[in-house]
Amino acid sequence: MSSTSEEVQEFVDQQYKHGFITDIETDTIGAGLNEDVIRIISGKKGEPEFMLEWRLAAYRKWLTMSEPTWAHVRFDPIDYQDIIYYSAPKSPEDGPKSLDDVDPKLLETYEKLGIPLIEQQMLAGVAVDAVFDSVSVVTTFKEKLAEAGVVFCPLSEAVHSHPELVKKYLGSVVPTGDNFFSTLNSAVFSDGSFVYIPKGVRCPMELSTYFRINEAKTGQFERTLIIAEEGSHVSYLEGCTAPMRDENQLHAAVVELIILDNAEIKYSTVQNWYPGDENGVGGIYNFVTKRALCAGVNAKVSWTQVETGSAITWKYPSCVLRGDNSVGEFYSVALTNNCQQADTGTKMIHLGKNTRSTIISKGISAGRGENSYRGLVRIAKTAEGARNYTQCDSLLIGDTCAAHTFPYMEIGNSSAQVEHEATTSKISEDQLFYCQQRGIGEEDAVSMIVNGFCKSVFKELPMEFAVEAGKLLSVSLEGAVG
Amino acid sequence: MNAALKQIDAWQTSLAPTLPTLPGNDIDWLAQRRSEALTQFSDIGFPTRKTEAWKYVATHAIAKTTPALSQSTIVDSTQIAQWRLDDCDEIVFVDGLYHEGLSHFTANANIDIKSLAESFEHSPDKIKALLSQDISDANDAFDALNQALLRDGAIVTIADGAVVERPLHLLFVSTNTDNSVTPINNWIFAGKNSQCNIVETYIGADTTNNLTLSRTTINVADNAELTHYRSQRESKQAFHLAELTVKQNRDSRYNAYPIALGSAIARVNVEIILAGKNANCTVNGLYLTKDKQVSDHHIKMYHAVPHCTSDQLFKGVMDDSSRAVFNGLILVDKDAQKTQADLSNRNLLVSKFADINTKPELEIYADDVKCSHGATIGQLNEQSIFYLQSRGVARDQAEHLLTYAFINDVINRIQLDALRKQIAALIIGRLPDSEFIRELV
Repeated sequence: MSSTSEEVQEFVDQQYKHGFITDIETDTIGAGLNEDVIRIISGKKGEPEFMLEWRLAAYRKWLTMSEPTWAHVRFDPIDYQDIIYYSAPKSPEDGPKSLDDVDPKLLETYEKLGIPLIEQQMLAGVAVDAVFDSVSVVTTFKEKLAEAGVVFCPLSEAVHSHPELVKKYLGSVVPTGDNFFSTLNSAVFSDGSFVYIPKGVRCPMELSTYFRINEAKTGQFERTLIIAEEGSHVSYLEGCTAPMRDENQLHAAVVELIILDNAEIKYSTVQNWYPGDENGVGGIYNFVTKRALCAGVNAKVSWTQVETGSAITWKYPSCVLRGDNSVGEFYSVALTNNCQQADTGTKMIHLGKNTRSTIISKGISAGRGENSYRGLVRIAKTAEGARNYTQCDSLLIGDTCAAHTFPYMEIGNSSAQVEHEATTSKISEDQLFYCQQRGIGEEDAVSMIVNGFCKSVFKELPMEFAVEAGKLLSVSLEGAVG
Repeated sequence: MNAALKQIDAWQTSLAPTLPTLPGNDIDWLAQRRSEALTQFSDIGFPTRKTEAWKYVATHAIAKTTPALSQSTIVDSTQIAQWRLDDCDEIVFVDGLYHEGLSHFTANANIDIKSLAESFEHSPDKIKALLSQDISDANDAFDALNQALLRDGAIVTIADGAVVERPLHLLFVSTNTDNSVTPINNWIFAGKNSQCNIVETYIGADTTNNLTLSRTTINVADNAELTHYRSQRESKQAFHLAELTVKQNRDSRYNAYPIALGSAIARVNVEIILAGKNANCTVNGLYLTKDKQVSDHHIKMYHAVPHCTSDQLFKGVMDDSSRAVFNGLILVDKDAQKTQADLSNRNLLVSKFADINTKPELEIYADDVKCSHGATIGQLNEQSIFYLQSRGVARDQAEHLLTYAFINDVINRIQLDALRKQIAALIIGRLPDSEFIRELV
């Protein structure tokens, strides 16, 4: 296996392909957090009074909380006073009217990422609400969406244009005080996306947001709120890459989904933030709270995530299945390489009758990566006839990585049917040999086997994402043949 | 002072004066060890719902009792006759103290059995050496309490190369009805190339309400084979909190059958360390709960070296408003390549009000391994019920019969005839329609 170790080395030496910094002026307030900073953030956005109060309440709650330690990850303590809580690209006032008005350097950044905005507009027919650092810069396809009655805008705008919806739903799924990181987010969140799908509307296109952390030492705190009214349907895509930085960047986002009667939300994520170098220096801390509330009957939510980046991932997209017959799904591929650590999974809280959930989780560990699946399936006494199926598989590549599974099952109703299966193994020599014997190189064979391993998740992704995810995975695994 | 602190204080005040009355307390190191353990117990305090390992089990019912150390009552042979096992050597402990009159065992070169209490007097140095090899986790308040009250138990040594034909039955009988604490500490040493079957039974009359603190430490030497049945059938008011620590050496085989049927709150912490290459471990567990019983199993299977295998099956049936907790961890160390470890946990909830909290965990630091775990919670198969109904079996009866069939999967794996029959009869007796089932099986 000497060739293997060479290849591993080769892979290890590879530089992060999306690592570059765009030099544009930004409007940044000093590091540190106190009530004044929150007032400044709120003031800069010209938020109504209720939002400021909401932020301050969250901040006061946050002061009483301590950082959770239960996750299977290790990192140096975070100095919350050493983080810049707000940074916006200069010139938000005269905001770009069309792509031509957008800072050309920004566009260049997107192009380096392989996300040519214009091309995407034309070819993919995808509306893009690109978050560059903390303020949404450009929103496309607004008219077409408006025709259908769909609201898709930055949250900071929604606060003004639809205050009644924001007031009603913000924090209704992830309340302030839910957990340490979500509470911090509630206090300082900079911006994010707001989506409202009216009754009976099937969103005419897939909505997509590309997040990108750019300003050094800037924690980015997005907040996404999606509301699907009765009988509506929307597919939402979120994808991200980040430039190379030496210092750890904190990222604590909150995503809230509300699904009413017979509505459906499909939420897909491809996450490829800077994972740090081979020694674990730098990289993003990704502490995200994502939760969906199936509030109505027959509501359906589907989370699909491909997690290949970040130094530390701490993320549990959850489904609260309150409406009868509601459905929750979670499909995940998490890859850790070098010193990456991931503690990710889902929570399925069954409250309504005949609620169903499916969990498919695929973890891949290579190098010195540590990958944990942590999940909860709770069937409440009220959840008559609930059904859950969980499968989490781990693939180990190299002898210094680790994979863990921590599934919690709390079953309080005898009519529940819950199944959990987990396996951990490496790519078998037989499989590799079989491929090589037929003229497929070792590297390609591994890539093929890994893609096969993840197939049941990839097939849940929208087309353009599936392509990107497959590419990402093989790039991330180049040389890591076991 | 809050309620929890008050309770722990009450326990300490009540139990501290009994420490000097324990056997061997004139030995300085032992007296010191006990008092340190008592301090440790009060430092740790009773577990709360925030203690991850006790997340699902409230210990309030235990903490609120006013405890005293159990005293042995007079028991005659007829009282325990129903619990004896045929064709076995039998060592009987009554309320945690060795009872010579009820035990029957003939000493021989193959197997040596000593009472811990007596060994304090005869061979204190040997005991000191034993205790110094303590490999269990010291973060459990109840285990600390057991060490503080260290009193009696069996020390079983199987000679190298001995093949012990007659199974050994360690019978622990509870008779106390005054909420007393019964500490029990056992050691089992299976010598090199030896073979033995050991049954550990904890039992009590219906009226007893003792708290049994039991700890069994087992060492399975190179190429030895030990089959260990652990049957817990204490009364419905009793509490049973147990530790089982097993160390397996090279080429050893350890087969465990933890069976929990009794107690208001039963907790078993099992830690099996596969410390020698090519060791093999199988566990077949069963827990049945009814009324308001709580049964909790925490299993840690630690693969420390390469080329070991482990295979675990746990089945549970929960009735009425009872609750079961299962936590099965497979931990594979970074050197333990070529490990094969499997765990299956299957549960049947037969009542609307029953609960099950299960968490099969994998923690894997090696790459060339095959590990899997599965957990299911479900109901009886409608088709099977229909099959029986179509052959004239009433629905109720069909359900009960299929429930027994579910359990029988584990019972059938018990190799020891006498024990298998005893457990089967007991479980059939617990089920409704027992007459009907008995006829058929």
